[in-house]
Amino acid sequence: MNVRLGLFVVLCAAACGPSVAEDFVTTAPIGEVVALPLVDLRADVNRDGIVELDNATDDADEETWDAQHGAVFLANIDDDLQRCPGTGTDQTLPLCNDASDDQLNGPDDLLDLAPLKTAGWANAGDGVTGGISVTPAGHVRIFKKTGADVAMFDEAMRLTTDEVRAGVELYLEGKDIVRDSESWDGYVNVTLSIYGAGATLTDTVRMRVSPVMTFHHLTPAETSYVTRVTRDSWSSSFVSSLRTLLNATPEASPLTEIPGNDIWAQDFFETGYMAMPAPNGQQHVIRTAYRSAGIETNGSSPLRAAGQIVFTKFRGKDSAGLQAYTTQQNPDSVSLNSYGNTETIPPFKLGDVDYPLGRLLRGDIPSFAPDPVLAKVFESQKVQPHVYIDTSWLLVGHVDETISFLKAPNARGWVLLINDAAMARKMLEDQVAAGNGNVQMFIGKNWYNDRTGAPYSATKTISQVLADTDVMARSAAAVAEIDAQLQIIKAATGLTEAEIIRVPFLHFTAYGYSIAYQPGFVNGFAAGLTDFVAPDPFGPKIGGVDIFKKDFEDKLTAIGYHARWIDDWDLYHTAEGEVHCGTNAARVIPSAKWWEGGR
Amino acid sequence: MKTLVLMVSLMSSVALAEGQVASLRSHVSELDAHKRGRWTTAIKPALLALGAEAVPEMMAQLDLGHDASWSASAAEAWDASLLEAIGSYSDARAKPLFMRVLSDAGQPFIVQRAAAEGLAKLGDLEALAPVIDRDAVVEGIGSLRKLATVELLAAELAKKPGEARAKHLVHALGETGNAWAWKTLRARGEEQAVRNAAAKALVQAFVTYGGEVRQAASNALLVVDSAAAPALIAQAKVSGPAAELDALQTRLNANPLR
Repeated sequence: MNVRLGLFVVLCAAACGPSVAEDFVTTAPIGEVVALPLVDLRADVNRDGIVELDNATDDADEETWDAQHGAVFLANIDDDLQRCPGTGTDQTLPLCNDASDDQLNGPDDLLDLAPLKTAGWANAGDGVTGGISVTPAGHVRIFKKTGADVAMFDEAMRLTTDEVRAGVELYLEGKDIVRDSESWDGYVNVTLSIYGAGATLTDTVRMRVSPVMTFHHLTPAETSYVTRVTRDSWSSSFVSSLRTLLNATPEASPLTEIPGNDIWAQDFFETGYMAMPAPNGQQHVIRTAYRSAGIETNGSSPLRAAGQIVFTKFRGKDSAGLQAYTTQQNPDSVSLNSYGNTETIPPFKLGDVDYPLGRLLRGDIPSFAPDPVLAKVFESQKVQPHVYIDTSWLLVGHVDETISFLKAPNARGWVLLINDAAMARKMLEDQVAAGNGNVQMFIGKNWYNDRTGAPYSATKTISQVLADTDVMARSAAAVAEIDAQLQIIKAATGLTEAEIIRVPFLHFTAYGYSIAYQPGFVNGFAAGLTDFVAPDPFGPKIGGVDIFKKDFEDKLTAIGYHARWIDDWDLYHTAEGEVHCGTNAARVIPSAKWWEGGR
Repeated sequence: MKTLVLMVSLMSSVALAEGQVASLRSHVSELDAHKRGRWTTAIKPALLALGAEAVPEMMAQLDLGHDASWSASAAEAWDASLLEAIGSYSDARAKPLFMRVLSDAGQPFIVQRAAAEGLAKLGDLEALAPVIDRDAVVEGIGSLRKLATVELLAAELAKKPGEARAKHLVHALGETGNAWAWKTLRARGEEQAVRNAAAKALVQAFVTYGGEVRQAASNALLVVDSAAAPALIAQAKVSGPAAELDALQTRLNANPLR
C-alpha cells in the first residue's frame, strides 16, 4: 500500500497528531490544500502485463504474493544480443548471459525486465530524495530510465527531487533462477524510500521470480531435435525417416539436426521456459534448456560434452542455458542425470489440489539417485512438484523406458502409456495356442550389425522367446517393478485403469539389470497432438499383420492418435534406447500461467 | 563319411564363430561410445547368436585381456558379457574360468556377478557358498534354482544385514523363485518348494525391513507368486505390521504376473 493520505490541509497537521506529513517539507503555502507525501512504488501486481499508476489493482495488497495477485520477474539469463562466446569450458560457458553484466543488452533486453514505476509526488519539497532497496539482497538488479537511457540504479544511488516529483520508470532484472529454495525462495521485496527532513517513508512491493518449467506432451512440438551423426548411414536413415514422418503431421514442426556423436538427443538437454505476464493476457517467455548433469570426465569440462549445446547453440534472444551439478555424484547412477529420466506428468487435478502445469516424474530412490544439486534445482521450482519412482532395476534407469503420456479425449485430458510385459507374454502365448509358435520375430534384425552381414541374428520364433529363461525371468521382474511404479503414479495422480494404455513388450537381462528385449514402443516421440512416432517392434506377423503394431495402433486410434512407426533397431534399440531417447522437442508454451497455480 | 561331414561343418562354424567374436571385440569401443546406460548391452546377445560352438573362442578372448584404448566401462562390459554368454551354455569346461574370476575379489561387480551366475547355471552351489558374503555373488546366484540356494540366502538374510545387502538378498530370492523362469525349465521337481521357501524368506524380509528393502520384498513376492504367500502373510501379522501386510496381500491378490 502506498503512503498517500489524500488531500490534507497543512494547517491541520499539528492538530491531527503525529503524521508522516509532519516530517516533510512541502512547497505549499500555509492554508492551501495540497497533496501530502506520495510514496508509491508500482509493479504489475494485477498481472496484466502493464504497470498502471491509475489502476488500484496494481497497488492493492502489493506487499503480499499469491495465486490472485503479485508481480513477477524473470531471471534474465538469455543473450539477446548473442554476444556470449560460442565456445568455452563447463566453468566459463554458464558465466555469460544478459544478467552477468550491469548493462542493458539491447532494446529486446528491456522486455525481459519487470517494469516498476514510482508515482510522482509533485509537491515534494526541495531536498527530498528517494532510493530503491531490495531484500534479500543479491538476487536482482534495478535499472532506471532517464530520457531514452536505461541504466543500473543501485542502492547507493538516489532519485533526485525532480525525479521524486515526476516519478520514474524502473526495471527489475533477475540475476538467476532459484537453485535452492532453502537459501532463496524466489521472492524479493522492493522498497521505495523517500528521504525528507526526518523520517523515511517507504512503499514495498513483493515480487517473485519465474520458475523454470518443463514441457508436458499436451502441447505439440514447436521445434523437434535429433542428432545427425556424420557419415553414419543408420543415423542418416533415421533422421530422414523422422523428417518425413514429422512433415506428415498436422503441426509439421521443423526438425533441427544436432551434429555430433551423442545420439541420445533426449538425454543431454531438457527444454523448458520461464514466463511473466505480458499485455493482452499473454506470457513473455524466455525459453530455457538444462544441460545434463552427468559427469563424464575430470578437468574443467567434466559434464557430458554434448550438453554444452544449451550454451553454444541454444542461448540467444529469449533463450537461456542452465547447468547445475556436483562432481560428488554416485558413479553408479550417473545415467539418471539424462533427461530421459525427467518427464512431465501432464496437468491434472486430484481432489481439491490442482496441478495446472503437471508434475515432474523422475527415477530417484535414496540408494540410486541423480545429481543432488540438479535435483534441488528442480524441486526448488515448486510449480511442478516432483513424483519419484524406482528405476534402479533398469540398466539405463530412465522413466521414459517404461512410461509416456499422450493427450486424450477423456475427462482428464490425457492417458498414461505404460509398459506391460505380462500382456506381451500373454499375446505370444495366445499365438502359440493358436498354432503360431513357429512364427518368427525380429526378422532380419541383428543384435550387433557390423554392416558386413555378420551372423549376430536376433531372429527368434515365438516359442523360442517364451522358452528363454532369461527373457521370462527379467520380464516377470519388470512386471513387478512397473506395478510398483504405477502404484506411485496412481497415488500421485488418481489415474484409473481406463486412463492407462498398456504397451506390451518383454525385457531381457544385462549385467543383472533390465532392458527392453523387443523395441520398447512406449519410448516414442509425441511429435504433435495426433502423432506418436514409435519404434517398429518387428513383432510376429500373423496373417501379414504385426500383432504388437496392431494392438498399439488400435489403442492409439481410440484416443485420436496415429502410431508412426520408424526403424530404430540398429541405431537405438541395440544401444539401449529407442525413439524418444534419440529425439527432443521445444514445445508450444502451455496456456496455464504458473503464477495462478497457487504454489 | 557322415562323421567327416560333421567335423567339417563343426570346424567351419568354429572358424566363423572365432572371426565373429574377434570382430565384436574390435567394435567394443564403438559400442561403448554409443551406449545409453552404464554398459553396452549388445555384446551378450550378439555372442549368444553365435551359438554354443563359439564358447571356446569366447573363453580364449577373456584371456586376451583388454585393449589399451578401452574405457573402464568398455572393458567391464566385454568381460561380463563374455562371462554371461559363456555361462548361459552351462558348459562345465568354463568352471575353472569362473572360479579364477571369483578368486579375484578386486574384479568389477558386474564381472564377479557374471562369473557367479555362470557357476549358478552349472548348479555349483558348493563353489558359491564360500563367497556368498560378496554382494556380486548374491546377485549372480539367483539362477541356481534349488532349495539349498534359498536356504543359503535365507540364512544370510536372517543375519539382518544392512539395507544394501538385504536388498541384494531379496533380489536373489526373487530370482530363485521367479515364477515365469520356472515355467521355462525342464526340471521342475523343486519348483513349489523353492518358490514357497523364497516367499517365506521374503515375507520375513518385508516384516524386518522398511523402505527400499520392504518394497523390493513386495516386488519379489509378486515375481515368486507363491501359493503359500497368503498363509505366510497371515502368520506374519501376528507380530508384524498389520496394515502394511494387508496392503501386501491386497497387492498379491491383484498380481499382474498372472
